[in-house]
Amino acid sequence: MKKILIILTSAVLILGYVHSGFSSRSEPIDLVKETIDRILKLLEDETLSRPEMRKEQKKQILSVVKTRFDFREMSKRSMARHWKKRQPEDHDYFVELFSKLLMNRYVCRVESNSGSEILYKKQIIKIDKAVVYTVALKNNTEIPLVYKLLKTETGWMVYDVVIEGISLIQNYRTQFTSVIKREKYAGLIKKMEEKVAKGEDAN
Amino acid sequence: MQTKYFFLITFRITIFLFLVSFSACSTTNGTGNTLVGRNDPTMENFIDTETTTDEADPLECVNRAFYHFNDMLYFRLIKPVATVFSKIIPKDFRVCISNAFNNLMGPVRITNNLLQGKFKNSGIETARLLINTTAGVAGLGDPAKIEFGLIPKKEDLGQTLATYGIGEGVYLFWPIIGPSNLRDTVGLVGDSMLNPLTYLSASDTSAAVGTYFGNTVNKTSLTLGDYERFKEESFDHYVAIRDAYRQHRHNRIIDAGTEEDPLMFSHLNESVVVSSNKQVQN
Repeated sequence: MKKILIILTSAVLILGYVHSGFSSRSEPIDLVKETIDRILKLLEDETLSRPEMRKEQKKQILSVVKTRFDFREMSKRSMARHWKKRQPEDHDYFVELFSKLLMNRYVCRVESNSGSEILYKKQIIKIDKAVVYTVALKNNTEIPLVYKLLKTETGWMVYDVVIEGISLIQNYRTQFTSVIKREKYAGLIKKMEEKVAKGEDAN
Repeated sequence: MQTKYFFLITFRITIFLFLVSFSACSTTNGTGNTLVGRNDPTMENFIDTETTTDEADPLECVNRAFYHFNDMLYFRLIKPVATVFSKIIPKDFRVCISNAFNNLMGPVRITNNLLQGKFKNSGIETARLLINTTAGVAGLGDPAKIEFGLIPKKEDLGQTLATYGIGEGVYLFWPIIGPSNLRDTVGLVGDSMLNPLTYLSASDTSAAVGTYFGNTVNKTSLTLGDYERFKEESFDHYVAIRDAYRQHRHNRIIDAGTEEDPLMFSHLNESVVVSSNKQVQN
């Protein structure tokens, strides 16, 4: 009898855990919310917000962002047809630069919207892709932020952020194509390095 | 006064017709396919796409020159004035001014909703115009949205023409006005006939210029810093603006994010292609 009880209890517990795992924690919308909450918490952290801790704060934010944002996929998509023409080591360096840039841009956006309420409106899932609709409410204005996610081996990962209807990745893609056309790949990398350095100086 | 008015209208109609004929030419040249290309779900995937019509910009030289002109105008004139303006006038009041200018565009939205067969939205816009002009005191407030929950249905002639199947034509960057294309320029000229301010310009040009400038300064004062930040984040600001304009107009045309959005998630259908690409490359 005791044995049966134990088995039943553990079964209930396991089922409950699995259920909660599936229903709340692994849904794209909850994952996005969880990631943003963690970023906001780091941004609001008083000790980390001190000027001398800025680097540490950024480092911690980056590690959080990396768990949910697929920078490699983003790089590939923004490089488009030029991606295949490059060597794997070029890829790695590009991903490194681009993730720093995107980080700066994204965190800057989150920071400038700080104090606003973020509403997680809905998610739409189709096979291995998901779209999560969020809205930042500030001073009576709504700023729509849409996250596009892809299901990978490591779970749902963001591959594009659409801010006020403008896809970040597509916007970069047209710019990269134009810069590569005029200044070659080396010119683009030089520009990226400059921007990354500038971003680091600013903080 | 009458002759001046007559000339103005004739001038606008001439430009309108000229642009329409130009638009027709350029569509046959293939530059008008951009919209079609963007609707193609595979465009999202691009990885093996050799050419993208997205980047078509045959007048880039001229456009870039005007871009530099507008950029200079922004930093030398608009921004300093808007900064001072934002310090003197409280934000709430600037929002009211912006509402009032928006309210003046009511007839444009009513007509274009009608022209697109969106009768319900046309009704909503009519109600908005009536409520905001009266209860909202000449459009300064937006009680239609706040009290009645009537959300604006932004439609203009450029979008109407797009729904009739007209491609965007050549991309244009106008001095002062900024990014546009042939179709939307035709739209702007057409819409201006429904804008009361156009008739002000017929009777008093300097007042109309002043009003236009005032509107621009007021709008800028509400978004100070956005332009600079966007420029700072760009690798090629001109191209970034061009793409943002195209994405923005495309979203407006398909009514992205609204209940009328038919293509909202069509791009999700090609997910298989993306994931297979991923496996091959990683």
